[in-house]
Amino acid sequence: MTDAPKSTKKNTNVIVVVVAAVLGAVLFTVLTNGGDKKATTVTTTTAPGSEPAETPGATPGVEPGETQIVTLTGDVLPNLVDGPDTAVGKTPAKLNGYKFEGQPITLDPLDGKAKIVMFVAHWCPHCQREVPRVTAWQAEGKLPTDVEYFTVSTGVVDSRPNYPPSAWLAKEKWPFPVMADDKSNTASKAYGLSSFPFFVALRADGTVAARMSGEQELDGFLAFVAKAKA
Amino acid sequence: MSIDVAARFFATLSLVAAVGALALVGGRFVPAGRNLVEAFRPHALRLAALVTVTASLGSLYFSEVKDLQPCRLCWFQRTMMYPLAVILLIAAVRKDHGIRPYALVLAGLGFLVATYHYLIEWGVLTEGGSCDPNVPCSALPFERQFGFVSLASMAMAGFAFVLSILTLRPEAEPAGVPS
Repeated sequence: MTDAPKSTKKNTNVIVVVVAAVLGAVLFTVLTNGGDKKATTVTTTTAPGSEPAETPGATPGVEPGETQIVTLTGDVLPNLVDGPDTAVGKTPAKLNGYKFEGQPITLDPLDGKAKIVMFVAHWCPHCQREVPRVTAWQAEGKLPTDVEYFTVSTGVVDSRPNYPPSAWLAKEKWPFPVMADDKSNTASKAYGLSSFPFFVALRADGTVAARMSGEQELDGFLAFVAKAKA
Repeated sequence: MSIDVAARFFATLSLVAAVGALALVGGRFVPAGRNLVEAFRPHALRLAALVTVTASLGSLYFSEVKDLQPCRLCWFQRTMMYPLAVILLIAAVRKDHGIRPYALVLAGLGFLVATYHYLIEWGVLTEGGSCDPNVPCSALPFERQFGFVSLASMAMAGFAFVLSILTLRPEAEPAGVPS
């Protein structure tokens, strides 16, 4: 007879705790304004010819930004997948775009120079580890100098970690020229990017020698570079 | 409702679940916590069902209403959480404590995956050797709430609560009730 009231009290206590938790969560969410942050900086991509440029060397009308306009001329490579790379031997598209600061920059596979094109994303932990590694190899003179190195910053999302990419690459003292991809990732799609970091070795005749993705150690990277010179 | 508001709401609930899980585990070893454990023991199935159903609905809200695409590891966690919600709800209605071993295995696996995912988000671990360009597990769909609560940690809290409450020994059942 005495158990019934005790059990009812226990039940009531638990129900009160659960209801209080839900109401508390609602109240807290309302009081803290849903965790809304002040508006984040929105990167704008301005068409050339609309406004004066402020950065020295920048194209008039192109503002500094984490993404820029990219135009491509030529064929889009198939995505890199497991198995033989069907892009090998093909000539990828020429890319015309801009650096973060607004200066024009071009990736022309048919300019007669072997090159390594690297695609990196600011939020990708593997890119964050690869960038300082490659920077160190370059600083230590371990990379062949008869090959050009070109970078495309792509996959930019301002809500993701390590934004903005321009500050990240500047902080890492990245030694190579960087093209800012557009918001639709036109450049990386044109080269068949499958995952980050992504590398494309181009021969001097403009054809793809090899493509690979993922973090690389020095030996693997040098072997990849050698394919561009073969 | 914006993503930030929804994220803050579910993050707050997940913290309640996490505190509850810690209290239920700690309460077994501290004399003062025994009353708490005893108060929750008869409601284990109902509370576990409530938490997993809420977590599942939250997960569906983010993907189906807010169009956030689940990453690969999120899918693994879903494969644990969704069945848990269904079987615990049925078990709670039927008062079927025999569900506990099955639920504990699912919750344990889910907790492990969520923890792995959470460590990847913080860069402590990396997923494979490269990043998926479309829905990477390492990138957050929205800012961490309170500086540390992400979808993975919400899942961790949910699974942890289920583990902590379903490892409580059920009260003696009256005859005829499945155990």
